[in-house]
Order: sequence, then C-alpha cells, then structure tokens
Amino acid sequence: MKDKLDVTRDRRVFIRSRDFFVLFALIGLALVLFFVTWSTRTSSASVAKIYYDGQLLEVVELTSGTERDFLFDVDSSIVIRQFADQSIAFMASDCPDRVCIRSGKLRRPGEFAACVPNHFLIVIEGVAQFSDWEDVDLVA
Amino acid sequence: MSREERKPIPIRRLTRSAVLLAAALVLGWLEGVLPPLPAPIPLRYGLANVAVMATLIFIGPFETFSVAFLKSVFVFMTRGLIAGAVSMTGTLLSVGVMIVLETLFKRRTSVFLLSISGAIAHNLGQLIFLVLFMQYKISVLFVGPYLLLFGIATGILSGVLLYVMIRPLQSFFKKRD
Repeated sequence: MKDKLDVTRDRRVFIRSRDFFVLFALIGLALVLFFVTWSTRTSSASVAKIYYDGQLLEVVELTSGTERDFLFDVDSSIVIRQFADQSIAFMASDCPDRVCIRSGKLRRPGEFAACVPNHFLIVIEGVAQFSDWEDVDLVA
Repeated sequence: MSREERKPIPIRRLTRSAVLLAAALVLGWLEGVLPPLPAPIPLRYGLANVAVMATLIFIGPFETFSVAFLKSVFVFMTRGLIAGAVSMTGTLLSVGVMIVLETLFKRRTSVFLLSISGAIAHNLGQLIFLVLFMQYKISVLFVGPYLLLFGIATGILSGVLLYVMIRPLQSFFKKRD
C-alpha cells in the first residue's frame, strides 16, 4: 500500500521568493529592537544583577580592575567571578549540563546567563538603563 | 508480498516515528557536547529540530507532537525537572508554529520558513517559560534582537541539514514501503 504522505515529499523546496520578505521583516525587526535598546542607553557603565529564584541577591558594578569571587549561602555550589576586564561569569555549579558556565563572560547590557537547575540568573544592565525606561519619550 | 509489506500503516508510522525520535535524542546529545554558540545569551543550535521537522514532513503532525514531547521527557529524565520544562515549552511552541504553517500552506511550506520559524519559536518559548514561570528578570526588548538573529542563523543551519537529508530519508523510507 502506498503511503499517501509520500506524494508531497518531492515538492518540498528549500526556499521560496516570498520567504525573503519574512527574512527581511525579521532582520528589520531585530534592527529596530537593537536601535531602540541602543538609543536608551545613557551610559557605557554596566552593572551585573544576580538573582536567585527571582529575588535580587547582588548588584555588582562592573568596574575596571576589580576581580573577585561571589559565593552564596543559598547554594554553595555556585561561584560567580567578576573579572578585571569589566565582565562577570559563572565559574562553578553542580548543575548537570553546565550551560551557565558555558555561557562564558558577560559584559554588554542585555546579556544574561542562567543556571536554570539552581535558579540563578545574571543579567547585565546599563547604568540607569531600566530606571530611566519610563522617562524615555519614544514619540519625540 | 513479504510479511513486512503486509504490516498495517500505523505500525510503519510508529516505527518511523521511533527512528526519528532516536535521531532527535542523539542530535540533542550531540548539541550538548558541541562548543556553545558565540551568542551573548544562552542559545542552542537546535539540531534536534532537524529530526522533528523530518517527522512533520515525512509522517504527520500527531507523530511530530509525540516525538517533540518524548524528546522533552528524555531531557526531563536526564537533566531534571526544570530543564525538561524549559525544553518542553520551547519544543511544543516550536512544533505548534510549524504545524500551523504546514496546515496554512497545505504541506507545501519551504524548509527555510519551517526551520527559522521553528527555531525562533523554540527560543521564544524557552524565554517565555523563564520570564513567566521562573520569574527571571530578563528584558525581552534586549533579548529580542539576539533571539531573532540567532533564530534565523540556527534555523538556516537546521534547514540546510534537513534539506540535505530529505533525499536519503526519502529513499530510506521508500525502501520500506
């Protein structure tokens, strides 16, 4: 017996001309979002916010030349290191896949790394980026 | 007519689904040992999506849903409850979007459109889970551009892999019709 689904297999193409409109629309949307977020950055200085279970544990100013480790009572397996080159990274975790450590160094606003099994999150924010968010006049 | 040829279609669909589920699991494992994507946010290559898309093209929506669901169950068993839930939301949203596209375009969706929409929906689903259920303080506005651009890039990668595999898979399955 012939499988009726076999009929459609030969007609599958890699790309159609209309797909380019979708592609350009998505790239355009990404560029608009980049522009909006870039234009609201008021300072080149960044802070790293460390969350555990949605609660803010630590705000780390990413200043040049400062290098230190952060350990937490809520989970002793987590080690987060601030580097002298104004970056921060997960260094140790007992999670099975180590996605958080593999995320590497974070330094630019908007970057984040998450240790989902241990409920830890690091988010980089530009200074005053979010506190000024409500004041941004997008119309003007 | 051999005994194999007399087997009813549901058994054939089941075994095909099982082969593609096994491929999805192996590709998922392979993805875990590859170096991370050079992205500022944690994103994956989406290699397992190649097997999920192949299920959608070669078998059907219900089997695709089953393969995607069982792939996430495997993540749940090997990497824990939360990783499984993150995988589940991303995978199911991705499969949902791809099934809708296939229905809208009457099974004529291009591989490119299928793969990039699946990749973006997968990343978006995972982000939605992290923001809504894990209460992660992530600005969607900041993550959005990365999500879109890397979704396009990983979607093109999995789309090319699938397109290369369509003919071999076609002959593999036809030999067993």
